[in-house]
Amino acid sequence: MTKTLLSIALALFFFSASAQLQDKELLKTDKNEIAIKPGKLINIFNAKKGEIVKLECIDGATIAFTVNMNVWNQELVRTIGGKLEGNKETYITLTQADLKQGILYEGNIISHKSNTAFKIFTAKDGAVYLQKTTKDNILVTD
Amino acid sequence: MIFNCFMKTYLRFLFFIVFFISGQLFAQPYNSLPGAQHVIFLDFDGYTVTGTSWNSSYNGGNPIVCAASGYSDAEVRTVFNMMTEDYRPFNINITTDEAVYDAASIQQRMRVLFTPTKNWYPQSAGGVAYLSTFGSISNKVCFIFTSALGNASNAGEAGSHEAGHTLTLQHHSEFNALCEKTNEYNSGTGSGETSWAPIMGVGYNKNMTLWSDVASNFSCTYMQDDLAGITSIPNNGVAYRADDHGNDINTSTDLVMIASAFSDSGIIGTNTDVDIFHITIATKSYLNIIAKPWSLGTPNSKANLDVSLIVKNSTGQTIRTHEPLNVLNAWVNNLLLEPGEYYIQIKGTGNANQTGYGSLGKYYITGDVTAALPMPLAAALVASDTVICKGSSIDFFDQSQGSPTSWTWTFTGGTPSVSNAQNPVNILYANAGTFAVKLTVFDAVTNNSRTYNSYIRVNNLPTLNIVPTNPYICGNNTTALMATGALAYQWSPAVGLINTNLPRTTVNGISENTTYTVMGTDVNGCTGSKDVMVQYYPPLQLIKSPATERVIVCRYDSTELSVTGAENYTWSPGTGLSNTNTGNVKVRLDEGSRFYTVTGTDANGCSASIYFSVLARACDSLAANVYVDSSAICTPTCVTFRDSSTGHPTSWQWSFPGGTPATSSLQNPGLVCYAAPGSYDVSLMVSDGVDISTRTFSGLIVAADMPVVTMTTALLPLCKGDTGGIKLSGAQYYMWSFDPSLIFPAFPDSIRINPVDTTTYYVKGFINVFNNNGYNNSGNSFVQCSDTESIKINVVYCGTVPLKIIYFTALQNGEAIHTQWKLAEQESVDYYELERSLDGIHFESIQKITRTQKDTYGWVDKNITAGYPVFYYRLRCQLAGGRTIYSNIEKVVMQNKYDQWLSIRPNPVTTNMELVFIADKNGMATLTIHDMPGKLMYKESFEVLKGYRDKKINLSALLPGVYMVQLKMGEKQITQKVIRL
Repeated sequence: MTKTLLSIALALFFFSASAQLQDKELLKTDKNEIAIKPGKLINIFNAKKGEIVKLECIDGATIAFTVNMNVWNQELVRTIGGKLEGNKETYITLTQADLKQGILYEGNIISHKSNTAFKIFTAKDGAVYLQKTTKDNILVTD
Repeated sequence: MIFNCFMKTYLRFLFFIVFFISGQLFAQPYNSLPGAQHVIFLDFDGYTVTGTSWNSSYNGGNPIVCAASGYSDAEVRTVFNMMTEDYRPFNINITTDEAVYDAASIQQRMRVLFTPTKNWYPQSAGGVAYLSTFGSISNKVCFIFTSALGNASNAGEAGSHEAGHTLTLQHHSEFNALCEKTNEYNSGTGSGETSWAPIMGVGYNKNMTLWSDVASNFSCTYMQDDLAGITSIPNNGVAYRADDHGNDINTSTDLVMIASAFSDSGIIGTNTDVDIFHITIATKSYLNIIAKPWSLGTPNSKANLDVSLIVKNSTGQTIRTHEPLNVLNAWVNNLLLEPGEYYIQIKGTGNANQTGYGSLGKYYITGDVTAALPMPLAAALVASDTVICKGSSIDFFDQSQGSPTSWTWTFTGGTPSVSNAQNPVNILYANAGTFAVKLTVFDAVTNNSRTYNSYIRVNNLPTLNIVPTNPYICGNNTTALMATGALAYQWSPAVGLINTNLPRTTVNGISENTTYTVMGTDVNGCTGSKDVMVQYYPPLQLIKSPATERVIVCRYDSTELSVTGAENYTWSPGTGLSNTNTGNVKVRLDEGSRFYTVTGTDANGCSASIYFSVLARACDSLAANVYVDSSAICTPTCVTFRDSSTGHPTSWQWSFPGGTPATSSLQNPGLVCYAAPGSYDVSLMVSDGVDISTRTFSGLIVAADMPVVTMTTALLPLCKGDTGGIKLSGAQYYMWSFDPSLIFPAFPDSIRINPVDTTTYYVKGFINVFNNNGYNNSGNSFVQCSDTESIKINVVYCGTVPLKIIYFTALQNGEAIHTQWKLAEQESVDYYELERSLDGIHFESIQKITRTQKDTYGWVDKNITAGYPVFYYRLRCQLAGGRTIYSNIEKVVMQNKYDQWLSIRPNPVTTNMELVFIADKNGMATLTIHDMPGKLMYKESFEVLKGYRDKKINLSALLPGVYMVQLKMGEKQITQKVIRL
C-alpha cells in the first residue's frame, strides 16, 4: 500500500514536472543554442519504450518525451528516440557513440507540423547543445 | 627483362582494352576505389533500418523493413557506374560490398539504400536524406525509392544527389530576375550531348549532371560550391583523389606504342587538373588521336567530362587544339608531324551549357601514328581559321605531300599578299569578302600549285548604333542607352551603369561627362564597338515663393506665386491661375484647396518640379445668422431655417428649443416643426475651423394656436322679414362671405342678418400673430391664422314684421356696461327686455323697458359681477301679437377701467368704418390712422360732446392691409388695429 501511494505520488510529481517542460518553452525559445546537462544524458539510454524521459537543460528547462525507440546499433553506438510530450508530431532522436575522442552525442528534434527543428550536437569541449534551426536544414526530401 | 617489360605492358594494354570496351567491372561486389577510407555503400539487396531518426520520427520507433531493389546486375552496374563517375574526383570508394561499409569508420561512411519500400514515409519523394550525416554518427542511411524513379539511370542520379545531401550539400535552385525562387531544383540547360544540370538540382533529362557552383536554394546570391562542400571539414577527410598523370612536360606519362597504336586513360580530378602524355615521332608521320569521356554508352551518355585536347611540340608550343562545342570528345586527324618529341594535353573544359567547373571525370585516349611515305609533290594547306572577322589575322600551315623545299603563298585580300615561308602567320584581312589562297610548292625538280577558291571568308564587323546619340543626365537622374546592330553586347566602363551586358543599359549616378563604349558581337562572332559620351549637367534647382509648404490665400483675392531658377515653366493644373507658362503667376481661388505642380526647364533641357499647395479661406468675419421663412406661426406648423451667416463657416450647430428636430448640424436644417403656442428661441453656432460664432435669437418664433370659429344664434328658425343675430367666437376677427342679407355695420364677432329665405352664412375667423421686432426675414411681421365656419339659418313666414332694429350696441365704460339701441317702426312693440349672458347662449333678462315715442333707448348695466371676462347682451323686443324679435348679440370683453372705450365696426372693414366711443366730457378728439410701418395715412380732429358717440370714416382711399387706428381725447387715447379688406 505504501509502495503504491509512493508510486502514485512520484508519478504525479513526474507528470507535473514534465508538464512544465513542454515545447512552449523549448520550441518557441528565442535562444539559438541551449546547453544540455551532459551528465544526465547517459542515464536516459536505459529508458524503455513507453517511458517518459527528460532531457535537462542548463537553463533549467527540460524536454520530456515518450520513448518509442532505444536501439543499440552497434556495440558503441546506440540511439534513443521518441515523441515529445505536449507537442503534436514532434520527435526527438538522440544518438550516443563512444569514440576514441570521447563520447559523442548527436540528434535532432523535428516538428512535422512546422518547419521548426533543433539540431543536437556535441561541441569540441564535450558540451551538448540544442541548436535552433529549421527542418529544411536537417531533413531534405529529393 | 625487355620481354618481361613488354609482357607487362601488353597485359596492361589487354586489360585496358577489355575495361575500355565494357566500361565497367564485371562482377559484384563492385568497388570504385578499393582501399579508400571513405565509403558510400550502395545497398540494393534490402535492409532493415533501426535506431535512426527515420524510425523514431516516422515509424513509431519500430524497425523499417526495406525490401530489396529488385535491380538486375546490369541495373546495379548502371547505378554504380554513374555514381562512381560522379564521385570519381574524390577519395571515396563507391561500393556494393557491405563488408567494406562495415569496416569503414562510422564517421566516414554512408549507406545509400535503394528500395521500393516507401509506405512509411509520408511525402512523395524519389529519395530522402538527413543533411550532413556522412561525417556524423547518426542516421547513417539515406533512401532512394526505386519505385518512384522509373529506371536505374534515374536511380543513379538520385543516388549521387541524396549522398550529396549527406555530404552537406543543399539544393541548387532557380530564381527569377527579382531573386524570387522559381524552382527548388535547378533543371539545367541545353540539349543533346552537352546538356547540363547540377547533381544537386534535377538532371534526369540532361546528359551532363555535374557538381556545380551555381545558386543554392538559400538565395540567388549564394553560390553553393559543391566541390568545396564535399571536401569540407564536416565530412571527416573527404578530399580529392591523387592525381594520376602529371600536369607538365616533366611529369608527363609516356604513351606506349604497340603496333603504331597507343591508348591510355586518366582522371581529371579537379578543374585545374591537366594530364600530359608524351609521344616520340621517329619519322615524319601522321598522328591520329581521339579522347573520349567515360560514359554509359553512345553518344557519351551520362558523361561528366567535356574533353579538351591539345598537341604541343617539344618546346611546349601548341600545334593543334581541339575543343568542339557540341560534343564531348576531342580529336586530331592526320596531323602531319616531323620527327621529334610531342606532348598531348587532356583537361576538362566548358561548353555552351556549363563553365567547366564540374567538367571532371574519367577519359580514354587512343591513337595511332602512321609514317608519311615519300609522295609526289602536291600542294596542300590548312588555315588556322577560315571564317574570320574583318581585321583579323590567320596562320597558314603547309600540308603538302612530297618534300617541298620552297613555298610561294598568294593571299588574295590579305596582307601581306604573298609569302615564301613554309607556314606563314599573321596574314591580315582588312576587308570583308571571300578570298582565295594559292600555294605553290617547289622541290629540286618540279613544282605544284593549288588554289583554294573562296577558302577564306571575312565577315564585316557589326555596325553598332547607340540611341540617344547625344545623351545627357541632369543631376541624379538616369538615362537609358540602347545599342543595336549586334547579338551580344558589353558596355564599359562599368562605373555608372546598371548593367553591362544587355543591349539596353541605364546610366545612373555619374557626376561628370562620361564616355561609354559598347562592344557588340554578331552572329558570326565578329565584334564591333561604338562610343557615346553622356553629358552631365548639374541638377536644376527651383526656388519658389512663398516658400511655405502651404500657401493660404484669401478667397476671391489674387495672390502671386513665383518660381525661379529655370528658363521655361509649366504650371499644372491651370485652374485659378492667371497663366501657366511664366515664373510668376497669380492664383485666385473661390474656395477649397488646390495642388499646383510647376515644372521648370533650363537651357540644358534639364527639368525639375516644385509644388504649391494653395488653400483658399474666407477673409471676412465669421458671424452666425439665420434665415427663417416665417417667424410668426400658428401651430401646429413647420418653418424653414437656413444659414445666413457671414464669413465662411464649415460647421454648424443649431438648437431649436420646442421644435422638432431640436438640434441640427446641417448648414440648412430645412423644416422645423412647432406643435404648441409659445415664444421660442433659436440658437446657431458656426465655425470656420478657426473661429466660432454663437448667436441666440430670443423669441424668434412666435407661435399661436390656430383659431377655432364657433357660430351661435338663438333665432332658429327666423321669421321672414325679421332681423336676427349670429354670434361668433374663437378668433380675433372675422370675415363673412358676402350675402345680401348681412346687415352692416356690426361688431366683428356678432352680426345681424335679415334673410328673406333660408340661408347658409360662411365666416372666416382670423388670429393675427405678430413676430418680435428684428426677426423679419420673410418681410411679414405677422401671420393670419384662420378658420372657416358656416351656419344655416332657416327662414319661415311669420307675417309682417312691424319693427326695425337699426342698431344695438354694448360697451364697457368703467365698471359699467352701456347699452344703446335705435329703432324704427316700433308701434307694434309692447315692451323691450335687455338680456345678458355669460356664454352667449344662455340669456337672462336684466331690465324691462317700456316703449316710448323716442326711437333711441339706452341702459347702463351697473350690476357687473367682478371676475367675469366677457358679457353678452341682446335686446328682446316683445311685440303686441306675441311675437318676439331679438337684436344681434353684443360681446363685451372686460378690460381694465377706462381701457376699452372704443369699438370699431365692422372689422375687417371694406369701405366705411364706424367708431363708437364714450366721451367723458365735452372737447376735441383727434383720430389718426397709420399703416404698420408707421406712416400716417389719415388724420381728423373733431368736436365731441360727453356721452356715447359714434363717428363714420370712409376708408376707400386706403389700400387693403392692417392699420392702426388711434383716438385721442384730452389725456386719454386708445389704439386698435383695423383690417382693410
